[in-house]
Amino acid sequence: MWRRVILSLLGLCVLWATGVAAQGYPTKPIQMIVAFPAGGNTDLMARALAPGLGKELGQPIVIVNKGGVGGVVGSTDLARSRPDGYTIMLSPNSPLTILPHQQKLTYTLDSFRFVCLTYDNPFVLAAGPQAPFKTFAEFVTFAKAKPNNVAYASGGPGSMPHLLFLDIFRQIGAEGVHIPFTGAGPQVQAILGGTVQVMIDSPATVSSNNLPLLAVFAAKRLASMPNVPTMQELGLDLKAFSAGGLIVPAGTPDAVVATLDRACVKATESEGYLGTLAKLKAAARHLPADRFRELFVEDSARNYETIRRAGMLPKP
Amino acid sequence: MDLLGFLSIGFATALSWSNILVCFAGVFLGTVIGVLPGLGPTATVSLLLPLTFTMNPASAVILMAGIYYGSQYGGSLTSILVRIPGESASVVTCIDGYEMAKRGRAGAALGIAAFGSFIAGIVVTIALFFVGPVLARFALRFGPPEYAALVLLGLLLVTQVSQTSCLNSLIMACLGLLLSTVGVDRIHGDQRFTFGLIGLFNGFNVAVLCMGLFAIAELLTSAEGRENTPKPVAQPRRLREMLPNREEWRRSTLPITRGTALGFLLGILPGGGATIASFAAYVMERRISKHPERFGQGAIEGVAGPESANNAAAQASFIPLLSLGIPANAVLAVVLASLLVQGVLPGPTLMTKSPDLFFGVIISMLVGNVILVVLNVPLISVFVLLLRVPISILSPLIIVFCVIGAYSLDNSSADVLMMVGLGLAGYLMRKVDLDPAPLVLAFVLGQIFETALQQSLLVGRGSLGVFLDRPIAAFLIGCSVCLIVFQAGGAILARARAAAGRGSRNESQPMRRFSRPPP
Repeated sequence: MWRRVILSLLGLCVLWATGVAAQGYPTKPIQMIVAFPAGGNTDLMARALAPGLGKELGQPIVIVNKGGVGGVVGSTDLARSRPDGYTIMLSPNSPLTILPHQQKLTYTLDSFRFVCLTYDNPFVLAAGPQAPFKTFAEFVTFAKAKPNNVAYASGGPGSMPHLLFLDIFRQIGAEGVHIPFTGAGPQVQAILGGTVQVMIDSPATVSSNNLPLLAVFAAKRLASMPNVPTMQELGLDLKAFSAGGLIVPAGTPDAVVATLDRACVKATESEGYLGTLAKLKAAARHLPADRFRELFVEDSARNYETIRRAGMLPKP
Repeated sequence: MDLLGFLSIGFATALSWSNILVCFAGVFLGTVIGVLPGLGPTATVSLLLPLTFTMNPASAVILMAGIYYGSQYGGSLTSILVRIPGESASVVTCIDGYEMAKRGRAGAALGIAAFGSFIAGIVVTIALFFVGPVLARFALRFGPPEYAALVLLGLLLVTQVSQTSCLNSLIMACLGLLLSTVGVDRIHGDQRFTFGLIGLFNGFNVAVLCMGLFAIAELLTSAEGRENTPKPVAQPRRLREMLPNREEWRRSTLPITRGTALGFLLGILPGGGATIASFAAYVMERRISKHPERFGQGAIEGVAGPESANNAAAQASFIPLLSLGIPANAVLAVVLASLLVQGVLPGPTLMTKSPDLFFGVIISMLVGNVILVVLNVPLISVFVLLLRVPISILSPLIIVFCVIGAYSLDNSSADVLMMVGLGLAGYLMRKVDLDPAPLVLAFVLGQIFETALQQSLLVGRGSLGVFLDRPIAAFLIGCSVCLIVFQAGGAILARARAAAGRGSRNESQPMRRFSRPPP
């Protein structure tokens, strides 16, 4: 009996080995990790991309939400995954370019290979309906009137909006009170109820409820909100970057990355993808691996500076 | 457009054949996943999310809404029959529902849960139609200080959800509070009790907690095969005898009414939800009952109230979602996402911009509730047969669903391990007569309380005065103070009476138990 068990195990090993060596990636469904809960911004970007990408690759893409701690849980999982191209992740910049500076994590930017950038989803600064300011200039005057005059919401300490607020307040020479919330829903509730006066989130989130929009963090004005000025126009030196794309574990073979990127180019140009992103007021954008990586490295350096200045580096 | 116009648009949308079909699919699927422990509405609606990209937005929301409130219906089934909550909102139903089943009234418990939910569903739908959006605006006044004050009041009542002694309940409640601190702190981002394990960063998930402490523990206990094993009591065979009788209906009328009102109010608060509503309804019923001693011994009020409340809350929570764009929980966050993908922006203008969506969804809840009752009530006699399935067949099935369910929450195998660990802990708790219900309630409330308290202090720039400046918060704090004074006063009075040689009354029962020396 034992002989049979061992033989069948050996047989399985052989099968498995041939599976690994098999050419013509992909030969089975691909798992796409999203390090945020279903229904969030990143999840929607992933779900918009997945059908087109799957069609190009000839294999279904299965989205797996592994939310938690601003993306740490899912990113750690990807870094530990087998680098064979069957586990990929659609990630925004924050889990890779912010969190490693703040927490002791088992991954860095170098734990991943970059495949392609797929979207640009710039942040917007919005004010509450009861806030005593409707423009950025009025906001600055109000914030400088006395210290801690403004309460601002964010999705948690060290989140991108939190860092942006720190930078805004430093540049306009004022101080505000940071009130963190979990997720976009509670922030919208807080801004409508007057608990906070300002928040920063994606265009889709801040567009409901007719909130006054003060500024966008983008190089040029958004087509969906042409009346909202950019931060540069308002005289602030803020190069906020909020975009995302496909990444795979470091060590993934070149051929696999090339296959993925070819599919990625086609998928980001597909009508379904463009339509869905337009409705979400995000921009579809394709960038190849090297430019994609460059942007993340730049962003990482910028965020390190903000975090260091705010004294939020992890204690040694 | 006037209300009548909105009403006709709502009916026209909800009663189109395709939407009736979609609604049926939603509530049917919802019932099924509600029955299966662990498989919750969150996982189901996220799986269906891509499907809704190409659907008409109204149909998409009708489908997802059906799944959500349908699962509230189904969740009570396993609570009542095998003491395993299908959803966290059905935890309290275990207490009296299971006792009823043990006494041969499983059909009545299932019946009152279904009818209670139905009545709550219909009343809430009508209320939502007329006052929903107005109330949702008012609910915005609930900021962090109000939540903290409300939850504080809830925490004071936590010992009321258990049959064991007051001291035991307090021990479990403290344990629940401690467990709620595990994970990365939501305000400051510090890791607490994680031991550097990535699986603990998110803390415990309430569904994992319930599955472990109730389902796995229950199965372990029954595996002993000794006196603890529930003996299937002879249940009536005819459906008519199974359904609640006149006496049971009489006792349930007021609890259903109160449960509906409470669920409606808590559901419309952004961030409130079905779980808290069901616990609150149970505590309220027990507090105002003339016979609190019946609770835990198969009181039908303890099933009727919470089951009405959780359905009412589940439906009411669609109002903050549609009229303000605020999702109350993970399920509604996915519904919000499906709207955003379609380019529909929820908010105050949704009602006038897409009345077919807004009113269609509300009216579809009437349709859904009718379908649920028609679907569920005749099947009660079939469900009750589940009691006759030998535990050796039922247990492995339940374990399989629990494992799938725990994994599906966050796609994390750590959750499965935690569930097993909590199951062992739950088994030991049972051995020493500790009831996990107060633990679950304290856990849920503890998370909200801590976050809300920290946010309140930030809002108040560090001063506790923020609780007294705001009228609603001050009122709620006042209620808590009164409650403590009355409880303590009652206990002192009871002692004085006992010393005078007279019997003490029921109101002071919990405190009297507390002062009883351990055996």
